[in-house]
Amino acid sequence: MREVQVERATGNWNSVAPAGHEPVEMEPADSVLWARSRAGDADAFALLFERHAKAIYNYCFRRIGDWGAAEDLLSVVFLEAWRRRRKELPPDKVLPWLYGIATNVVHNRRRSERRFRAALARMPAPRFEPDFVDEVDKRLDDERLIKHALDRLAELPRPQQDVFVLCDWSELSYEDAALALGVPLGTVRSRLSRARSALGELNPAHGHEHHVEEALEQ
Amino acid sequence: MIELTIPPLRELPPARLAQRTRHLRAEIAGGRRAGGPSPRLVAAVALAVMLGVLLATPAFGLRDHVVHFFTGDRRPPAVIVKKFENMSAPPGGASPDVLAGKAREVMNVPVSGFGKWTVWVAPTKAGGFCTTHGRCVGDRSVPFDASLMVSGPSGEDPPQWGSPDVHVVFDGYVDIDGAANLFIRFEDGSSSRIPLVWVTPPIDAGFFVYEVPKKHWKIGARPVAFVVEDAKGKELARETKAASYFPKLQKDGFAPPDAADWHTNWLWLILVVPAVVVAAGLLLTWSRRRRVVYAAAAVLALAVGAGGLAALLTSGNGQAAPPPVPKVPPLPSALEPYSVGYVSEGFPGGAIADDQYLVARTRQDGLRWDRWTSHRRTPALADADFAHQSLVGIFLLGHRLGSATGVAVTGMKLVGGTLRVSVVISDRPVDICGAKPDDSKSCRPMYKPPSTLYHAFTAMAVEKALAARIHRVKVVHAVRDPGAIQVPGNVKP
Repeated sequence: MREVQVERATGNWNSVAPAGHEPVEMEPADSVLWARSRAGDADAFALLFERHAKAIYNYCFRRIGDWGAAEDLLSVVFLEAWRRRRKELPPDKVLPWLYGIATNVVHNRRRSERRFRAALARMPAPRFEPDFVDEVDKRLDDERLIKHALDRLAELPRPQQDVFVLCDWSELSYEDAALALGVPLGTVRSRLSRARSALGELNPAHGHEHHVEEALEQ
Repeated sequence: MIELTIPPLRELPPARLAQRTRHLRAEIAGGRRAGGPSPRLVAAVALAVMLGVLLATPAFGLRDHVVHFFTGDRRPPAVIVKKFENMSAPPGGASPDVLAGKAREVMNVPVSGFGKWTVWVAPTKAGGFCTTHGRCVGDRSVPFDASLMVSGPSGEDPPQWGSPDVHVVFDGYVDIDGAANLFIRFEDGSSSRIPLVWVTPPIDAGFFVYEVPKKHWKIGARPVAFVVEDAKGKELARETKAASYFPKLQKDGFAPPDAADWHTNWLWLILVVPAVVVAAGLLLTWSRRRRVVYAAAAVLALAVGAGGLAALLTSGNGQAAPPPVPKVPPLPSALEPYSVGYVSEGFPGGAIADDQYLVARTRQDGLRWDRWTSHRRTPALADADFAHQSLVGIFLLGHRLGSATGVAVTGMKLVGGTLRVSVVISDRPVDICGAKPDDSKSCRPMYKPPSTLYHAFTAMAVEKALAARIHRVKVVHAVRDPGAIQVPGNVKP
């Protein structure tokens, strides 16, 4: 159950779900795929990748403001997840855990990329895709927009940034954010509260807004 | 109200997701080890281990073997500082840049019947170090060094030739990372292991003092090698030269064989006497007809007798008898007095820590204090006990420069307040023979004249009570030696 009520605006930006992980039941479930991955099943892990690539991809972009780099970080996040595949996860907590890895990868971007430098080097060069040309403009706008947001976000301490982006931009529950960040639930609440206090409310006319007072009341 | 607008979610560019998926599959199928430790984790574990070792070191008792240079509470007394300062005295100082004030006590080894064998070490500006035993390590090019010292039965007595009542000590240093122990191997296959005392930077070297027990003075049981080991017993370096000096000194009679080893085994006469009797009997009853048999029997008897005789003569463990103590040549009867003066000063180890003393006086410059002449430059007196003795320096006036470079006192007598001495004079420096353990036979100059102002000078150690009564010194007997005066290094003046 979500602990923060999110009211989605109908603006142009939010014609799609903000976080990218729909609450849709998929078969097989994440926990099943993860169990197979832990046993070394690359197919199951690849399926997890395809399932959550969009969420992690967008999360990385929203943390660094660069679509191209976010794509590489997406690979790094999943390579790191594969490296840590011995990890036993609670049911249906694969995605929050991936968010946690992505958060660490973003924070330690240089080191993470260095660790998987060889793997990234083996990545084939992207092919030219004529259909993608129109999308490029939009993505440039995205980068400009997210840069502005990140500049504002940078005024917060990094722990508060993490909680804010996970809970408000990626719509993770407090519990999932706590799992992703490896901190107690109360810490997530307090950090989010302070972050929202610092940033104030979002303009409901743009993007998605969070009613801070309401969330705090809850 | 603050606006914080973010862009919408987007898919990966077309076909890129499939490409990334293939790439991911290829990478994870490449056999990357799961759960491998991250470099940070490895570094953290290594750091924790190192910290643990450091903290646990006292628990393992290793702290006693480490002298922490900067936290050591023992500061050098003035006498030690002075001694190190002597080393920095030019010219010819062992280390001109020794930091005497930063000396640290490395170890204090009790030696029964001798006292305490204390080793001090001081760093040098160049990154080396010097010890109170006069050893200076400059460029650290030699990672491991050991040397042999033979000392008298007490701190006041020099070693006497052939005396079993002495101490045989090996000391040295190790400049090898990880060195922890010194392993001593003996001729009989036995061994001993002592811990190195490690002094932290800037010294950063280990030190040892090992007194050879009397049971290991015997032939067949003497030290043959010193091996530096790490804490796990792995050999890091080996030294055999220092150990080889000991048998040489024994052979020359300087170092002591055990008194028990000098007992001749008379049982060998059981072979010698019958063989001689049989051989004599055969000769007396010589039979020409059976001469072949008689000759063979006589030869056999003589061979057995010779073997027994050889065994008898070498039954003192093969040691040759110690050579007699060399004596200085007798003085000629002709006497020729000289005007002399004297100085009396304390020395390092004595009550007055001052090694400066008057070494020369010329008619031109009057009295001159020369601070770089010290007891170190007069090896014949190095064994003097400066706690109870004073050094009396004697200089001769009226000699042409360079004509009285070497002067040796061969006799002295205190009459009233005048110390009457007999000297030998040479235009060459005095040669010291037999003072160094590793070079017992050859001779070398005691010193080199430091300048043209250096006039005839010699020194001798006398009891402090005696020195206090001296008001003047007079040379009553002098003889000129055409060659270098040779002085046995271990003879008391």
